[in-house]
Amino acid sequence: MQLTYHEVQIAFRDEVRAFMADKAQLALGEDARHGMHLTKDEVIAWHKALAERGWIAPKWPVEHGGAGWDPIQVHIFDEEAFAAGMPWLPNFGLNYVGPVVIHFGDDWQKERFLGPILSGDEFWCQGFSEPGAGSDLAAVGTRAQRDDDNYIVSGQKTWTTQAHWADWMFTLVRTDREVKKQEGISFRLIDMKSPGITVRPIMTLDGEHQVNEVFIDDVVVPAKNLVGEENKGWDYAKFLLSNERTGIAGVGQSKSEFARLKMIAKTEKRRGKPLSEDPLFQAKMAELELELKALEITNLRMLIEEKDKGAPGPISSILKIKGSEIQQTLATLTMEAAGTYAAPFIPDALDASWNGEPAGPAFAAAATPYYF
Amino acid sequence: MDFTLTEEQVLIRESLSKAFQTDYDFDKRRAVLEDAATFHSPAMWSTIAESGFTGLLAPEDSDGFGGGAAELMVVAEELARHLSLEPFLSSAVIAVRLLDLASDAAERTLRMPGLLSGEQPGAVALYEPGERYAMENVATTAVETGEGWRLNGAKAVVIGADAAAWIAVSAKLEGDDVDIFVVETDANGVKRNPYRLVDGRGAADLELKDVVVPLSARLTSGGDAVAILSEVEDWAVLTMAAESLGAMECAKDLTLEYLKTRQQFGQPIGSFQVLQHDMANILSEVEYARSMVYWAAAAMAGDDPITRRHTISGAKAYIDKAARFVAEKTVQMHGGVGVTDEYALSHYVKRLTLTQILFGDRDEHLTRFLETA
Repeated sequence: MQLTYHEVQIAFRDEVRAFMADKAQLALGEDARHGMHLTKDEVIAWHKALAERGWIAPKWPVEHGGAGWDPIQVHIFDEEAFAAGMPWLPNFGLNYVGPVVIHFGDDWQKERFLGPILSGDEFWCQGFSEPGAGSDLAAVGTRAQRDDDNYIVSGQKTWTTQAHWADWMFTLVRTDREVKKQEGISFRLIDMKSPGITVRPIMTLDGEHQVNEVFIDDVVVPAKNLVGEENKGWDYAKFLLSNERTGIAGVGQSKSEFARLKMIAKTEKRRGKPLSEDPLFQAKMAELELELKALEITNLRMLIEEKDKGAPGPISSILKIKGSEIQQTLATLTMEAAGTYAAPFIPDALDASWNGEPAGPAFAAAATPYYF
Repeated sequence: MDFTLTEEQVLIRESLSKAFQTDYDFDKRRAVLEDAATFHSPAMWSTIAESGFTGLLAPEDSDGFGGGAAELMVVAEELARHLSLEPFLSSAVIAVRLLDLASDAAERTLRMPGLLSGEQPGAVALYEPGERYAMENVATTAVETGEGWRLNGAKAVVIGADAAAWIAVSAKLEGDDVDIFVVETDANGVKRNPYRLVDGRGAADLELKDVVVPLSARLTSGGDAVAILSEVEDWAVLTMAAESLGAMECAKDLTLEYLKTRQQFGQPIGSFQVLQHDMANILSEVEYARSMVYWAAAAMAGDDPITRRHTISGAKAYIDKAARFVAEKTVQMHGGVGVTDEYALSHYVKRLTLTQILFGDRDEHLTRFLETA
């Protein structure tokens, strides 16, 4: 047993750290670290910097333009990127559909889709959830019917993150109604510019527009946009969701947010004393720190198992719950730290271009929206 | 001991509810919420005033209703159920109680009619930037000029200040006494930075720069301002507790309904045992919270200030915990639809978030509960 990184991992970490230092001009300011909206320019600049270095797709195989890192390297990179305050890349292309195309796609699909994902020229969204199929994902009702070289697709998707930005959507569609529900689903790629696609925003209680409803009315989808085999879509969806596991613990992000909260606690006062000296707040911070430490080490155990055995094992399923609870607690404590200034609700203040008058300390504007 | 409402209290609740049902349904309220200039509905506010609710806590000799904590509890719970954005809390609770407790007859005669008619709403600034909930930490200064007082300073998150005709502020005099002064919002040197709060109600930060007020604008003397503001704050805390209860009741009802209608895996989600357990916990938390609101209301009607503060703080600390639990659980049990703006639950969750923040959070009230034991 060795609870520290090996020499080669330390060397890798130093290499990543040097890269972050070299790109320090791309890091977000202290106020923008958390909650502030990223501008498209900020996201693209970081994407291009990583693409140039060959690090944009850490887990993809090298022959498809990936970095070919093992799970520990991916973790080290995440920690360093968050610690350096780099923008987070919300990327359904890189993390979700890319690996599916690499594993199950044909040559034309690899040629057509992987390049623009790596370069950042095409943006993807995920058409899985439907109004009647949330947790019960296999209850997909969107239908695809053969029409010569095309399929005609009709139905509705919902909770589609960033559909309003996306060029493409990967979807689960029903292609056989006669069999068990998991066995009649296919995985299709749909051009968001197709006639018959309508995107309607869903506003959420934090005042944000991230998710959408996507209406699909008799949309013509070429047969060549079918990934893998007909009626095997459920297998590809499971593969895609298992890829989601690495990184779900959010250790890098939570560690960086915890460090930030400690700074906030030194400046915000309760009864004339900083929160960092307030017994009630201190106790909550201490409990959170221990939860985070337990998560961090459990996450490393999973990553090592994944590296050695090729699969993360059952321990991965407990990480998401603890990881989410920790993120929720971080958000709650940040809101509590803002005190009375958690009460004003000015979503526009999270846009870099907003020039109104802020209320309270800079971190407070995002505190309550982020709690939501 | 009797926990049933009097006939009069039932009547109050029903008439308020009726007014909101007709003029303030979910869609009409959303239109009010989208107004970028006026943060409430002037039409609804005049209905509230015409029906006498603005005078609920004003004494009868000021033409008020002469109601107390029990009546306030009934009204605040109902206002939360209808997600009211009207300045009832700031003007009809906080400003009315302040005028009653602090002012001499002349000021009361001058300002109470405007509060009751709703045409000249008031607000009270309780806290300063960077001082959280410590009302006794006052950096705002008042200097006597001969014909009046000159005020300088800043106040944080003054609820209702966006709509107020006047705002009462605490300020430190030479010799460190703190007194309360009334400032007209259109006076020279008064700057407001209005915004909506989490639940949509209006508030503002306040900046006072060489604001000159007449001698009569001083509402207290001898430095008893903090004691008076503490009592005013306790009324506000009771309002928060009752609003929290109303919002919890509605969040609970929406969730119960959702469990019966939403289907997943071929059955209503209410048939899953894990959700039944969660629902049972919600039901029990709401009932315990109701008991604590009753406890707080009873203490408010008593005359010992220490017991009053001890009980009010204990109740707020308890109810804030219940509110957080109910808000977070009901959202989780709904899944995605729980966080959408077009569904009422998200608005109750916002209300429950705000009631935890305003007039002292849980940590503040736990501390006060211990200090007053």
